[in-house]
Formats: sequence, structure tokens, C-alpha cells
Amino acid sequence: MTCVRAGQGLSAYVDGELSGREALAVRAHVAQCPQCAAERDRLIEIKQALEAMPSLEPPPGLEARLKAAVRAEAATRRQTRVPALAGIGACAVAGAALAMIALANADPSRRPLAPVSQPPIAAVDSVADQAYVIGSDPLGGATPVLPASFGGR
Amino acid sequence: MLSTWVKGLVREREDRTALFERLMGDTQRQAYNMAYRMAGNASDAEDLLQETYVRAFRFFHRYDEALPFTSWLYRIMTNIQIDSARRKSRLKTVSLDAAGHDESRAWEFPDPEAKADAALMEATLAEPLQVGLSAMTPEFRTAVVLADIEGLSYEEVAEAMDTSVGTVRSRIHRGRKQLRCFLERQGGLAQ
Repeated sequence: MTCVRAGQGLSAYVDGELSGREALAVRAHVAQCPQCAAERDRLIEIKQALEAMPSLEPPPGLEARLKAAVRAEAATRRQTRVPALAGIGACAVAGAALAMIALANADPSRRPLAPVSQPPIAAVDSVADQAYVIGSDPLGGATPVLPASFGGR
Repeated sequence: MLSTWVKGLVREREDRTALFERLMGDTQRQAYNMAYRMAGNASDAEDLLQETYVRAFRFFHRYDEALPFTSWLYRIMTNIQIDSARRKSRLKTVSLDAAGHDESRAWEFPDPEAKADAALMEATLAEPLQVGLSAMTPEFRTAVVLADIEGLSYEEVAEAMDTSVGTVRSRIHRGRKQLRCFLERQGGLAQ
């Protein structure tokens, strides 16, 4: 084994991360090459110095600041999801309206029945611990967002 | 019935936030140490840690609970740290030929020296090794910190850095040599 080959594997050799065959070849080379043996010793010295670095104490109040940042992220996510769901609800309403128009034009005898009193529910979400139901208004075509408790549903 | 389901959804989300906060409480000390060793000073370490936990929370639904939380966290932290180091180096090499083409562009040159000096000053007071770590190539530093300070195996480092074991082996070796050269120029390891 050449010094270049052995040198490339020296750190992994020191870490016990070489295969048995590679480790034996590096060890045989190091045993008869003083330069590579010195290099191995320097790598061990660096490794041991890093391992001995003291564990650092987190600054006071760090956990509280991290929790506040995560809760702010949670609040942002709750607020951005409602408009997105309302958009999906609006698309669903528009799609249903187009389908009804198409059917009505295709066969005048198949008029759509009056809309049922219970509007379909397009989506559900929560904002600031209040659950909301995003439905579709069969008369106006808008997407009302109502508290889940509204109407006892 | 629907309101029960909605309440269930809300409770599930609250449970996930509570679970995340518990995991954060359990890991923040170890993660702070890792962030400090990678960032080089207390202020940058806290910023890095905060960004890591916020991003981890954002993608918490992707976390595989069969794996250690710290491994997943280190993967996120590593990505943020290396991206940030690359962004800083891109800022330093921005072309002057582009100046004036876009009038809205504000030419605010970053001052890497000032930041580096502050970091070096803080680290010099603490440990010469930290100065050496801060001077390393980011990819080498991350591999060396994960292996030698956090005690991860090469396979675990490869997982955290999203690369092969062969690349990790090379980065650790070159990183240690870089650190050794730096310390020798500074007068050796004696503290």
C-alpha cells in the first residue's frame, strides 16, 4: 500500500470505520512507515481534542424563546389554511353550478330540483381553537365560513 | 357527529404541537451544543437552532417516529447551515459588472470581516479549537462535528448530510487535516 492510499484511509482507520481487509492493509503500512504513523498520531490527537470539548450550557430563557417561535409558526399555519380551504370550496361550488347549467341545456325536461336545505360541507378547519365549517351557499353561490357549533352540527 | 369529528381534528393538532414541544424540551440542550459548534458563536447558534426547530415543526408530519428525533433534527440543521454558508459565499463573489443594470438593486455589501471578528473574539476567549472549527469549510466542519463531537457513525453522518459514506469519509479526513493545519499555524493544540 502506498502512503497516498494509506493516508486517505487514515481517519476512517482511526475511527474504526474501515472494512477488516482495508484496516489490516493500513495497519501493515503504518507499522513500517514513520511518516504515516506520525500522521495517524496527529489525527488521533485532533479527534481526542474534539471529543473532549465541553458541552455548552444553553443561554437562560432559550427554551421559552424556542417555544414562542414554534407557537407563532403554528398560529401562522392555522391562519393561512382557512383562505386556501375557502378557495377549494368556491371551486367546488363553481364546478357544481357549471354541471347543473350543462345538464339543464342538454335536456330541458331535466330541470334541476330546488336545492336541498342542508348545504354541502366543503371543508373544515380551525382558527385560534375555534372550529369552522366551510360550506357552500346554494342560493348565492358564496362560501360561508361558520363556526362548527353553528346550527348544532 | 360532525362537531365531534372537528373537535377530534383540533385535538389531534394540539396533541402534535404538545408532542413536538416535549421533543424540543428533551433535545434543545444537545441541539444547542451542536448549533454552537457549527455556527461558532452564541447569537448565530440561537438563530440556527430557532430556524431548525421552526422548520422541523413545519414538516413534523414527515418525521418518522421510528427514527431518533435528533438524527432528523441534525439533518434539518445541517441543510440550513450549509445553505446559509453557501449564500454568504455567493454574496461575497457577486459580480460588480451587474452594478447599475437594475436601479432598484440596493448595493449593500456584506461585511464578513466584522461578523467573523466578533465570532473569533468570542471563540478565542472560550476555546482555540472553536476558532479552528469556525475557519473550516462548512461541509468538512459539519461532518467533523457530527462524528467527533456528536459521536455519530459515518453511516449516520451520511444520513444527516444526505450523502454517501465515501463522501463522509473524505470530508472527515480533509476536515481534520484542515483543522490540524489551522491549529499548527496558531501554535499547536496546547490550551
